[in-house]
Amino acid sequence: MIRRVAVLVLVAALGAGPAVAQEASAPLQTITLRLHNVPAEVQVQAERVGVGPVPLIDNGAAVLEGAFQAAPARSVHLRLVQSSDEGRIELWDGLALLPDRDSEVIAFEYSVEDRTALATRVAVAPTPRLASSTEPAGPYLLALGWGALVLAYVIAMVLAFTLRRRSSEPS
Amino acid sequence: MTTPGSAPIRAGGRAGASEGGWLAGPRGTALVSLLFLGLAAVFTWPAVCFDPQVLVTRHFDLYVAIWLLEQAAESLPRLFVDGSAWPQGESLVRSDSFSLLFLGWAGRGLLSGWFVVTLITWLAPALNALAAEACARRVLEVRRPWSLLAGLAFGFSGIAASVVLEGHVYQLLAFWLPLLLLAAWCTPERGLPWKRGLLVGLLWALSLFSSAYFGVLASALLLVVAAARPRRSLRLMPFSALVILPVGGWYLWVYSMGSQHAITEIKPDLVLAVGAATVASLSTWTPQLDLLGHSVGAPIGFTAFWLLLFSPLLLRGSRGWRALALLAIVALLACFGSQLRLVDGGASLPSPFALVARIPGVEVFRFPVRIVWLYTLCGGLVASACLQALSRRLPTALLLPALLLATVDGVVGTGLLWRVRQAIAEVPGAYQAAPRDLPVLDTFGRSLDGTSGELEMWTRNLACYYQASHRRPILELCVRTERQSPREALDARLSHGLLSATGPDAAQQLDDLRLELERAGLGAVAVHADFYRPNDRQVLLAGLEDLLGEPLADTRDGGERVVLFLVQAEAAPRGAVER
Repeated sequence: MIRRVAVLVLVAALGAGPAVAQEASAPLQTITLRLHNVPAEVQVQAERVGVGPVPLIDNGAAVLEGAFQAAPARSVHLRLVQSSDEGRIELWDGLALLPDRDSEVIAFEYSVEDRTALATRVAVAPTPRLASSTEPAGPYLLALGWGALVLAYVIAMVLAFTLRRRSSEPS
Repeated sequence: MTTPGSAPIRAGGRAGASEGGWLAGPRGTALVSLLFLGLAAVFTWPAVCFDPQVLVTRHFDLYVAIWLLEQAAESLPRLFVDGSAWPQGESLVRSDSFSLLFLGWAGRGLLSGWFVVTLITWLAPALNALAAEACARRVLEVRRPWSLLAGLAFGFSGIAASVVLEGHVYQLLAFWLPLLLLAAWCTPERGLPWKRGLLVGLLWALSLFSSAYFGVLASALLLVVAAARPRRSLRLMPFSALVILPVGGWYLWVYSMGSQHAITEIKPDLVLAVGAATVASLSTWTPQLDLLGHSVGAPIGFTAFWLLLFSPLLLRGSRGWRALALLAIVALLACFGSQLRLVDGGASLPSPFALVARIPGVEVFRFPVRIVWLYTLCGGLVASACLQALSRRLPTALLLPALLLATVDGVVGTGLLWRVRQAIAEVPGAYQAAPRDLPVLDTFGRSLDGTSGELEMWTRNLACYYQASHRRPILELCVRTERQSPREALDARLSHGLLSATGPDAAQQLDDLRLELERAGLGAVAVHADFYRPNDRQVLLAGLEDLLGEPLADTRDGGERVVLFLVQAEAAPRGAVER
């Protein structure tokens, strides 16, 4: 009986899979651009090279964000340009690979190095399929946590062995 | 390693701790199998959907794994592929996995490369978990449900998640390791165990063929079994050696034949350091891990880890666990490679394994993080024994959440659901217009994203993946890891020639380029137009039209625009192109 149920579940899973995927597959790919750490006085324009501009909206906390949809592609050409009194400064210009056919977030960080404004591609917490987002703990916070746990472990082991030895000693 | 007079690990006497009722016998095994299959479906979602439009991965190596599977039928037993690195072809003596080659050969004509990798992605974590759970029951006599912890820790580990992300699916075929441990550990006490010995040898060989890393880990397991159970091992090993010595010798001989394909030289101080774990990458996943290249990290499950650390207390008086706990700790230290680091690129301390890095030949093991497989197996086994020991003192209801926590460690803690991508599986249709037996040159241009090597690896593997479908020979290297491939060299000359062909010499430059393409014996040039800047693309396509005439095909499927130009429809007779 169990064997029959197992086979039925497997067949159903294999059979239903493509159908589920068919329904879930989106015809368009959503690409989100995010530019972190942008000073309030800085104006930045984003562009899909050869296609057109991507409107960026101030998302608060010095983050500019914009999104566009297109047919699923393996890569996209992007350009970020800063407008200032001194003219246009190219912050980033290049090809971004898109590993996911449905949605990708491409993040940059604005910085000024040696008086030159530029944007650097940075990693973002990946949240394409699940709604909740987790901000990873900083490495030093992590080390602190681990250090505390190891200390607690050592104390617990010492206590446990001491108590065990005392209880086994003849009174 | 055993304590004189100590007892084997036994289940506690509290209700629910014994393996009875619904978890006993074959029915229990069926239920556990279903549980692991269901968990694997969630863990590797959406692999179980078997959507032919999707490749479940994140980085670039799944493409070349599929290529390897598709080449198997024609490349065995010669271990040579004619379709890549044209016209020389490529040797497979240093391919990552002979098991993958064998699977491709066995399924030829029946199972596509896409299907095999998707099936492995879904099924292998469940099989790994089942094998580890069986190992816990037989090796340390842990009863259900506590033995499930060993399965959860091994099957749904951080290293398994990294393997899925990187696309090294052959590394998911890890179930040989627990089966090997089980077979070697549970050798009968009496008689000549020749059948068992041969079985152990066979499992060692299967581990080696799945991945060279697993060959090393399997050897470590055998050494530990020999140290823990010397008498039984002494009777077993002569029979195992009948398989291990010839297979190992053959493997080394075949590997040595590929010495001319040696990997790029690595600086001595970077041996066992590049693909090494850090405290951070063993603790959790961060987005930085997945940005470029490989996801070099393997979050270890906290539930199993803490139980393992308390094993000296919980398993005192029991036997059999010490060797495994010791191996788990050593494996955990070894995965740091030659330097102990808190974070990637941060300050480091020399590790005791820095000495190992000086052994000649060790540099081929570039990813010490993969040793975590051994930790997850041995650590999970000992942790499950600890849970069983706790069940003697605590009510079952208090301990069952530990299994839930171990599930959370795997499904949530590794972050695989968040990190994995659904890559486009479709292959551009333009290739179908190319002459059937002549090679195709894929042109992607040079790196434009400013990240060293990343775009090259993507384009290289994409060209190989496409070749698995269109079957025309290509110039790309699909096995070797040298940075400069013949395709990239000719692509660079063609792109540069077309973009710089201006002025009075332009006609002569184009003529030279045409001659070079014909001399190379090419049938077609496939321009991957999206990879060029708009201005360059325009000049390049116009130049190719001048050079080769109207394109044969211009398609936008498979996630990119591919424009295909005909160089020649039939192979020119030798010397005909030498004008």
